[in-house]
Amino acid sequence: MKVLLTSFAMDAHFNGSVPLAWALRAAGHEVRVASQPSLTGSITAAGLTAVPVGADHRLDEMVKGVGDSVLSHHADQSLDPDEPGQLTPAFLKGWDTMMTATFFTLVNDDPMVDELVAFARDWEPDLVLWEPFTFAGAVAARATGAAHARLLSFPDLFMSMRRAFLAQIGADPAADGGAAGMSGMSGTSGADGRAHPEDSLGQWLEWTLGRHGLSFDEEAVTGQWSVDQVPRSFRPPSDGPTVGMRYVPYNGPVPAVVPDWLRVPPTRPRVCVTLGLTARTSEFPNAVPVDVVLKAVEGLDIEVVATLDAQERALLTHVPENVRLVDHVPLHALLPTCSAIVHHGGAGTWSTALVEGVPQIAMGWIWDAIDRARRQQELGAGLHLPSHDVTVEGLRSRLVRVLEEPSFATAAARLRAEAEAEPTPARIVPVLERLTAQHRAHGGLRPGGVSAACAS
Amino acid sequence: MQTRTPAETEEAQQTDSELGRHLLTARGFHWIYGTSGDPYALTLRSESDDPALLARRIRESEAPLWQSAAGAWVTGRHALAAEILADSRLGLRHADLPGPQRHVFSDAWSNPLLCHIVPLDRAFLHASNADHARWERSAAPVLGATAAEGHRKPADRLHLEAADGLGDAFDLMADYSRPVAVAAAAALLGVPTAQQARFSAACLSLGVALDAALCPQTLAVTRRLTAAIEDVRALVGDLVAARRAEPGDDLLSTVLRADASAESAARDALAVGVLTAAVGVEFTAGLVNNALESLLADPVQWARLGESPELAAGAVEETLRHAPPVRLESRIAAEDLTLGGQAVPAGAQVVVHVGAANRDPAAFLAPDRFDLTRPTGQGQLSLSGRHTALFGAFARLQAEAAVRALRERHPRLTPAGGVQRRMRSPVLGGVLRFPLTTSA
Repeated sequence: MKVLLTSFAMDAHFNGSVPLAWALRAAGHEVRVASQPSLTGSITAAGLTAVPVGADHRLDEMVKGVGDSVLSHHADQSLDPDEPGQLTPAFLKGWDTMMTATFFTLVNDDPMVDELVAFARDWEPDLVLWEPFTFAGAVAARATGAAHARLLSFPDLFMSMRRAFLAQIGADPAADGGAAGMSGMSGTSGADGRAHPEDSLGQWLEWTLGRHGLSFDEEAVTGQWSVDQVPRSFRPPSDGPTVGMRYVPYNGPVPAVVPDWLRVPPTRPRVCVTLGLTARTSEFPNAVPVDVVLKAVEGLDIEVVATLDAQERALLTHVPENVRLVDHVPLHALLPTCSAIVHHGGAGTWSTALVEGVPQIAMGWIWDAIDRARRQQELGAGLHLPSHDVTVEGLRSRLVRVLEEPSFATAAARLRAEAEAEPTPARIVPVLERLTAQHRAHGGLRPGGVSAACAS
Repeated sequence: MQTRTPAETEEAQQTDSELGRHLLTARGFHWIYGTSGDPYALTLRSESDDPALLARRIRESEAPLWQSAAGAWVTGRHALAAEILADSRLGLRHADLPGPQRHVFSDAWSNPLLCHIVPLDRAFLHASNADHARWERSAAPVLGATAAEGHRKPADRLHLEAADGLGDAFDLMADYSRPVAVAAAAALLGVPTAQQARFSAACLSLGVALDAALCPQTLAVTRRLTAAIEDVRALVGDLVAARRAEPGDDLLSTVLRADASAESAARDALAVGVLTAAVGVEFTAGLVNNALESLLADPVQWARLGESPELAAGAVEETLRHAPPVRLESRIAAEDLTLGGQAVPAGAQVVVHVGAANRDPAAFLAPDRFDLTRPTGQGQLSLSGRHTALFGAFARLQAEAAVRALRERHPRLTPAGGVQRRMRSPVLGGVLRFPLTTSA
């Protein structure tokens, strides 16, 4: 079959789709990856075939102009729908209004959506897999009758918030739909082809679909199903059809090379310190005080591998003798040798550490980073340290605990086992073939593999 | 007369994606600027925050005139507010921007112009000071303060009839304030019976006009507003053409008579007629709603009004001060100015929060108290805007008649639940529902 994968141009959001793209390709399917032109290098570096659409988004300019305000609305805020007093009407209204104005419509601007639709009309994909904020994928699928699904690389708190928001404005798609599935739902959001007037995201999708002669329904937000590579312990409750998939680390377009020193086993416990790659290449602020982090490890009988680039190193006043500074090392090669990791909270780093069974001290101050880190701590596989609360003593004492108390490694191993229990990308390919045949608007699908696993 | 300039047709041709995204972005900016607690941005956000509290924060800001994160220079001080509204160097439009007051957001995400969210030039809402001065002059024989007295009897008759037709339970806005204001406006313009339903429907959609200039409405509401503007232009345009052939004693004929040049007189009559529907109706209905809200909240004053019906004038005057039907007045500086000790550059937006200024303790004793026996003239600021000045005498007269008629015919009038106001209505605080019973 023909699979069109799409993600707005940002490595951190694209990387999570690469192993599945490889699996589809290796199973003999045609795969194209569409994004704004600036992602072309990353797509081709992953060995995939790029389709540049639209012009480069100007997310960095938005972050520079109004990012502080948009981010401050969401900073240090739990997105856990079960946490009382968090998802207030004002918070959710601001989230919908600001994120739609400054993000969703920016990374799915009209030229991007329209060129993606034009490409899809020409190429006629059977399945569109889209990064969960790249709603252009849903529009392209609807325009061509392709099946379409979201590909999740981080806990789906977006959908929990969306549900809570729609319920608060009285547009809950589940309200009178009852057992109606994700498709053909009869609730108030999109039931009549229109979004609720106070639903900014829905409104914008209504106009965007309308431009292509299509009507709105909530499926444009949810996809027909989701491929979720987040371990079950971290998935928020969901009633949408989900295909679980094991997270297989792909750490981005920087060349993955195993250095000499990594081929020798460490003599002291090894700890990885990383701030991820996103802050290096975008205006998105990390909020991690890197100098404090390194001061916190000074004098401990450990070997610290800190992946810091020149700009991050410039913030250091002093490099302790037990710290090895490297610009970049593939995390999936480094982490199997580590006893712990201290990181900024990013989803790619978190996922890689999780499947490698490494206890984590996760910082993080916004979006799902907070709830992921908290949940990790609840499950005993690490500790959460909010980025804005990092002190030398606070970090050092946490790190000592994580290294000295064996329960952290045990819990991390349990999560690793949970992650490994999910089917690999290769094993879900037949499931996707079957779901695609079910959901595609028109028949004639070339026969795929044998369906093995089931959607859960 | 109905032909449009290319810039004006562009408005109607904007796709849903284009216009919708523009409105979403403007709304996004209001939310963004509100995150830091900016009381003007929060006022425009017009969500759950208490508008009276925000008005107070605007007034009590350290500087009498201060710049909001949203770009506008804002005041809630009475003396400065009066000075700004009287200053002819401030107008409703950019002196250097001919044609529609359209502002397109760049992708730069800095300094967006939020002073005219959508251009409402077709409704004559961004007219020059010179136009307004001329319209006020030519409409004065009908709309002026001295002319109002002549309309008192018909206004009383209209309101008493309407009051008599109310059931035991009714909605003040839907069943009384708005329909009677629409009928009074229709009478003013001489809208023929056959066109009154159409006129009434247009007025309903035009009710958001003053809000839409400062606060992005939803796309559907904006489209309805735009369509209603065109419809009322066509309707009034036909009336103007008829009056040119056969003059009467209505408002349009009066404006037509004021100018020797037939073409410009016709344009002025169109403008005054359209403004009557777009501003006069909602201003009047809002004044009635706000007066009743205050009066019914205070049984003593409601009783006093019963004893002395002539206090209706005081009640309306006090409502203008205490709960003005137009809360925000937005202006653009035509040149570099110094206002309230602040340098305000040409082209900058200046906003007077009339509601805040009317509660200024420096200007009023016990400003938060509604008192229908205050000395006259204290609500003057609420009639000092370009639009509120034009329709002030009309609205005041209608509201007095409305209050008197309700008090006389329904002395036991009681709220049956609270007043619900529209969201996205920072200027008018437009009433959605105001349920009342007459026999409680």
